[in-house]
Amino acid sequence: MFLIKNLMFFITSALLINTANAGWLDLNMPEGVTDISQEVFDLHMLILWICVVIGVIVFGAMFWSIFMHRKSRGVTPAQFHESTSLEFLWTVVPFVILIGMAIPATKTLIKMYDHSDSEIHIKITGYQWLWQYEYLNTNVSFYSKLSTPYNEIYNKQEKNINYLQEVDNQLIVPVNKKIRFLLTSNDVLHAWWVPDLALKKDAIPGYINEMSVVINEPGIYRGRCAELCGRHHGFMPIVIKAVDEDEYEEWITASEAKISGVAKVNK
Amino acid sequence: MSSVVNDTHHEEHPSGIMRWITTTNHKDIGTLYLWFAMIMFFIGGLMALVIRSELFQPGLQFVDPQFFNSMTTMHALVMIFGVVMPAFTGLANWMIPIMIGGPDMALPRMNNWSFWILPFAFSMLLSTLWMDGGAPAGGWTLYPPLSLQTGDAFPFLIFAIHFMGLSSIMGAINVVATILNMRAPGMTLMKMPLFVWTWLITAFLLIAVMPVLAGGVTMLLTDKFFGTSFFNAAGGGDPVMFQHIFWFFGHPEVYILILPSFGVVSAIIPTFARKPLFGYSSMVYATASIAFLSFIVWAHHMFTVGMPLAGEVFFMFATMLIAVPTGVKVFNWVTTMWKGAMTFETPMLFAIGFIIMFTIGGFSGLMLAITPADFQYHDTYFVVAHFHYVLVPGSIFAIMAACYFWLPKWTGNMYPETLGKIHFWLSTFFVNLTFFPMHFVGLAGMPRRIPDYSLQFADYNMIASIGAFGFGFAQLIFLYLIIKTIKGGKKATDQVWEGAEGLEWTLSSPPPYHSFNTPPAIK
Amino acid sequence: MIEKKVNIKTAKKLIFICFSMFLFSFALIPLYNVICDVTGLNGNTSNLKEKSDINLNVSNINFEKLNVQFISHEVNKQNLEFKPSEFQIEVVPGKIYSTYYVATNKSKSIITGQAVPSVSPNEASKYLKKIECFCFEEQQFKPGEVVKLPIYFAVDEKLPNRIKTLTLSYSFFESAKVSKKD
Ligand SMILES: [Cu+2]
Repeated sequence: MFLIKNLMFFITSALLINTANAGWLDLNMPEGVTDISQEVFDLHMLILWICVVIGVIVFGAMFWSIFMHRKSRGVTPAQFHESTSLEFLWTVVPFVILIGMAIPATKTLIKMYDHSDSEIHIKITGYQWLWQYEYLNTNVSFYSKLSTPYNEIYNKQEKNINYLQEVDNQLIVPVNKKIRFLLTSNDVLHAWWVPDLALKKDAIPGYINEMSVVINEPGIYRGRCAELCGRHHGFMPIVIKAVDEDEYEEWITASEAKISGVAKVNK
Repeated sequence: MSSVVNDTHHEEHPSGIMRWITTTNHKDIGTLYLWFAMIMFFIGGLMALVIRSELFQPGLQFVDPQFFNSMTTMHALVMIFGVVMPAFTGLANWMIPIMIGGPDMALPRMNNWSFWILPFAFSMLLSTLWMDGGAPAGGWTLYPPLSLQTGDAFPFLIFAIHFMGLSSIMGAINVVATILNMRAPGMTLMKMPLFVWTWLITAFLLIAVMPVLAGGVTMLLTDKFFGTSFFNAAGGGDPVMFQHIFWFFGHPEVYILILPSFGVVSAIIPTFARKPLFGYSSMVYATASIAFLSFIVWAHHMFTVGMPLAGEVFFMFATMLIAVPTGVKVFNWVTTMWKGAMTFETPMLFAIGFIIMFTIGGFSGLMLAITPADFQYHDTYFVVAHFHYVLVPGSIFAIMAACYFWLPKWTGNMYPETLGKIHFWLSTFFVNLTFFPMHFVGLAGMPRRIPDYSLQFADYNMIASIGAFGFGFAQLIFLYLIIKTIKGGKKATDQVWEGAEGLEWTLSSPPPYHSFNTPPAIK
Repeated sequence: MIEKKVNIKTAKKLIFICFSMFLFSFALIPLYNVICDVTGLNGNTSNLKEKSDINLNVSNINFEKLNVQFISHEVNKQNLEFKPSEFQIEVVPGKIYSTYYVATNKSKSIITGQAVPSVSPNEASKYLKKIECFCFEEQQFKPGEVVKLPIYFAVDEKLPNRIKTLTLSYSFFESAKVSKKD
């Protein structure tokens, strides 16, 4: 009883917290801020609803049967055990539905693989346990690692709203420009994932992978490493800030100047 | 569970512990396998509870992240190789010779070895928990280069896997030889119960893919200790190559874990619907085509490694195809229930629970097959929810259904029905409480295998943790119930269930030590 | 006891399948490379590590131009700086081009090692033909030495049209890390 009481308490409090802060939509895949992420979201919802409809039909038939065809209602069991037409039907119908799913999925996939006309090229390198970003064809290059203080992780201090999804140096990119990412790793496998951009790809030592994106809206988007990479796998977030083109140009020029300035002083 | 068997018989076998060590009897070995699985189920469950405790709230509370990773790794290895596979092998040992009207397994001596390798393999695996550098923490998928960072535990891990593989290969050879050679006259292949059919196909899968896993982990071993570079880019290898080898084993392995449960459910549903199984032959063909397809879909576990477009499209289509034979099975079960005269004893409840929740896992599997969407789902809790739905209320529920179904036959005693039903409803409630919220946190962006998470995932993780503890404690009922039934209870008839059909119900409850010394007549 | 013989016969057959599958797992590696060579799957780099003798016919210069980019991954940045001399060059398929990487040994000891190539998109790797490359053999750099490392390459005319940008990346692995034998 104690358990059940506690459970009820947790469930109700969880529901309350959710409706209060965020709402149920946050429990779904994000629609994201790119054309492709929107397509991926639509695909996800399409298949979800197809599954729901099939589920309602199959489970509906099953529950109908459970309630109607029980021994306690005094029914005598039928003895049929074969029907070629029925079996043919439920082999072919799912097949047709599957083709209906495969076509839009393939279309989206082809778009995801189109990296042509990229204007900005950024190399991402995974390390145990941080990311390095290099803006190719410039000298801008920096590391980006978790900035959440240890005290928050070890519960000695209240956790801030961006707990475990904040970094010291954000990746800054322009909106409305095609950005191509080249991914590799320095040690073990990592995976660079930002849900709002529908981008996820493995970083593999010795090999490079690529992906590209056009971000439609300025904003800060958060992601994380998605491939087990050792002790601090859960502690290597990604924060990407999309800004207007002008602001980006300003930032990249300033960063370049700053870095070459530092280089000169060192010489 | 057969400890009470056979006081009346004049069989000669050693008593006490030596009986169990030297036994070549299929029922004794079946019992050993089942108890081994039960013990491992609680060990693996304890590891799951360590994981769920740490994830109860954001922040690091109980364990070091490295130990957390060891727990996820070991939990998977224990549950897959120590629980589901041995439990099914136990059921196979107990039931297959009886179901086909044979006297025993084909190769009894090897049967003994294949069981006794297991405790050694798992002692070796579990001993790594106390080693320098900790237990393996690179995930049960053992992806290099991370798995090569394992400390002293590494060779123990590899050899433990070799032994587990050896054990299941030997078990599989025995099953195939038994089914092909030991059938009673008149027991044609298409008259065999579906449990026997699914196991025959499973055994072939095991024989085909366990050696591939052995080869893959051997290459890891030589990469680590003998300077080869199969998977090391610096020496001209490719880390992704390991993933191809691993999943060439791994995807058929997924079906190894589920096919026998199809057989179990196909035995239980007709019994309690009092109506013959619908579409027997299409069930056999569906199982065979699932097994065949399992060899050409492996790369759907690796959509994010950066395969070329053509590869992604091929593996997406092939994976979606699996939905067709799997759907056929579900439709056939539902049609078997249709217009039956059903009663809902515990085995039936577990079987119906299996169909519903396995189908939910199948739906999320279909979603995962869609490559562009998989980029969002891959390596998140959505995947964790998916495979736990097919493995826990899937395989594990089928194993429990089988235990309830055949326990009266094995022990000669009826289990306490009300307690069985309580066990079912608690398990079902808590299993959904644990795994359903994981779909949501996964979609919202929580990766798997992390010991700590950001705040938006907190509520659902707390619910999942509560569910996990509830599920864990509910299993103590199962343990208690089994021990109680072995010790005594209402005597079971030979028929046990009103609608039961098949050779096992023609034997006494409990059956004689040697099943059919004279072959039974087959209808 | 005829039954026993039959069982052992079956077991022998099955054990044979087991052994073949074990060997097959090792055969998967060359097999995979063959499949990759044919399909360009997963950026198989074997062709990048050896000299290709291609018959270049520059007859058809009407090809669309495409970009070839050069990047590097410095595995141990403190000791060895390893960078391309230029980021990107515009090429016409079928023509030979050259560029070079610069390696600077910043440590106080000799560094020996080898550069391991990779191409993105990986299906393009089999169309990138190298006539000469420093990655064909092991390199040695004396302390403080700055070395220019040249590559001569051409892009095969058969490169699929939709690929407009190729990226060639080198990771330099020191010999201590490179296995002696494979
Ligand atoms: Cu990582």
